[in-house]
Amino acid sequence: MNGRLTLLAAAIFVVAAFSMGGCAAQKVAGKPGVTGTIYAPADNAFLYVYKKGVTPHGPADVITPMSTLPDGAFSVDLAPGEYTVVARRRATSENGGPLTAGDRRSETVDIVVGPDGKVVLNLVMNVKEDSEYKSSFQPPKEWTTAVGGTVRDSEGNPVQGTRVHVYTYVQMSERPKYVSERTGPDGRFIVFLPKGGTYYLSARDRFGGPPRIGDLYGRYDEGSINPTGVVLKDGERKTGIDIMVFRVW
Amino acid sequence: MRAGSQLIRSMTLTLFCLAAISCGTAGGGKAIHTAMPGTPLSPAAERAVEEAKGGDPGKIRALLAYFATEDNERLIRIVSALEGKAVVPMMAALDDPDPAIVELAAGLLGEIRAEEAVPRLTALLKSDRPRRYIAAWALGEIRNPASIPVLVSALSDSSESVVKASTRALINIGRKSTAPIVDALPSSSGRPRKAMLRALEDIEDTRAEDALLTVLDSEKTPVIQAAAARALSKCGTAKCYVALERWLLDGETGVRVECAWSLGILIAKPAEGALRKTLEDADPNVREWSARALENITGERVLYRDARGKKVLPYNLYR
Repeated sequence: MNGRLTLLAAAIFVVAAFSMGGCAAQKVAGKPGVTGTIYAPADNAFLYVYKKGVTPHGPADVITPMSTLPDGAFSVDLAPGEYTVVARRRATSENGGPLTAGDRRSETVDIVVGPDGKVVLNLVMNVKEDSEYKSSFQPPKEWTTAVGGTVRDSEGNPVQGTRVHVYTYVQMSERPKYVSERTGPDGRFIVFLPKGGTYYLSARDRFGGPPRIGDLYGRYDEGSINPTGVVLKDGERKTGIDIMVFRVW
Repeated sequence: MRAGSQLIRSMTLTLFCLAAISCGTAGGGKAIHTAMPGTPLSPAAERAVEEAKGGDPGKIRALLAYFATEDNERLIRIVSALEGKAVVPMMAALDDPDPAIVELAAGLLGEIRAEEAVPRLTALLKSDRPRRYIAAWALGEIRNPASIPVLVSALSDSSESVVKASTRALINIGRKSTAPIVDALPSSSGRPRKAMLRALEDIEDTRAEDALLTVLDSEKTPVIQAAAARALSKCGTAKCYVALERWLLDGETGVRVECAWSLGILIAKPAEGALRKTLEDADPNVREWSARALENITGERVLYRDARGKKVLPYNLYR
């Protein structure tokens, strides 16, 4: 009986340690940062690091450049400070975009990175999907305001497979408010909006974080430093907005 | 708002530098499938890099082939570290029949700011070759004022990507571009004129103010007139307040929006009365931008009537 209790207590301790992650502040020598292992499943996951207080649903401050291998190991150098980390694993093997059925994520874990050594963190992929995300979005019928056009490459050819992201903030660094369906062979897109206003547009072939090498990306602008705002009245449908995308290198 | 603008400027410049090479899947060249940053180079690429470090032009040029499959970020650093040794082979690669190779070579010449390449890049920009936009981009990175005339001419190019890259290149070169653009402005029209106005806006030179006022008062196409109004937000002084106020009240919707924007950025206190009038404009976008401008001028939050007639605060564009 006593042995059973010891075993049970040990099991509870292991589960608690996994779900608490780095709260116990176990450290290993090396540059400041976070290191550890992702479990169940261990492979194909990315670690997302956010500065403390920043919503983990927005762009991450750091995303591990490659997904985990079957051993689930990860290691990230960070400046000393407070962070929130979460691991996500998408069936598509992508490192951005909404989680959908079949995707997994860990709980978010707050860590404090000191001036030396790495916080050791074990993360269990025990949450199947983010309930706030929907796999597909159908705009309500009353959304009659719309912006549309064509995504093109530098030679003016239509580009297939991109989505147009619509922002209300000129920095375009937050999560897009509205996103189009992927473009087809004709490169055409349309995004329905709840009301008129000033909108800023970009097109890209992947979700999440700043554009990375290999991504197709382009803003709607005219070579100027700020993006060009598209001003729409309530109920207006503006077309002919062409967005040029480039392969980031 | 100006501080926010500076932040955006540095951020978007970085972004544009990153996003310089076109996809290459539809323009007749090879598709680029780069490895993720941090991916170790293949043994073959490692060997090629070691050989290129010896400085042999042929070996350096041979590195271009590896951009299709290897970690581009690392390859760019390697070629950049070669500095002068990379210039001759990259210039030779501008004659390659493959547009993807030409694009890479021109991009790298811009990356290493190869002054010697200006004549070759100018010739590429003047040609009708595909992806010649990259020549404008590279000239903008090199920032040699000798490039200004060809870049101004390129604002009339039929290719939108060339116009866009030339606009940005003139912005990068900065105030030395002001006089040539101002000189070209009166005889321009349509898209080239709009591109000139966009360039002047981001060069932020008050010497362009008179030329911009002339366009604002004489241009018949609303989107171009609006671009002149917007450019005055960064090139204008108190001298332009009267004209901006006039078009704030009498212009087409897009012109009124840009006049409100500019008066707000300029913190044009004398325009407060006009902006309070346009708080009741027929168009909700004009009302919204008037409220933002008034907030900039008075330092106080200003309500406006949205499209549904509800009094609301404009959201902060630079949150």
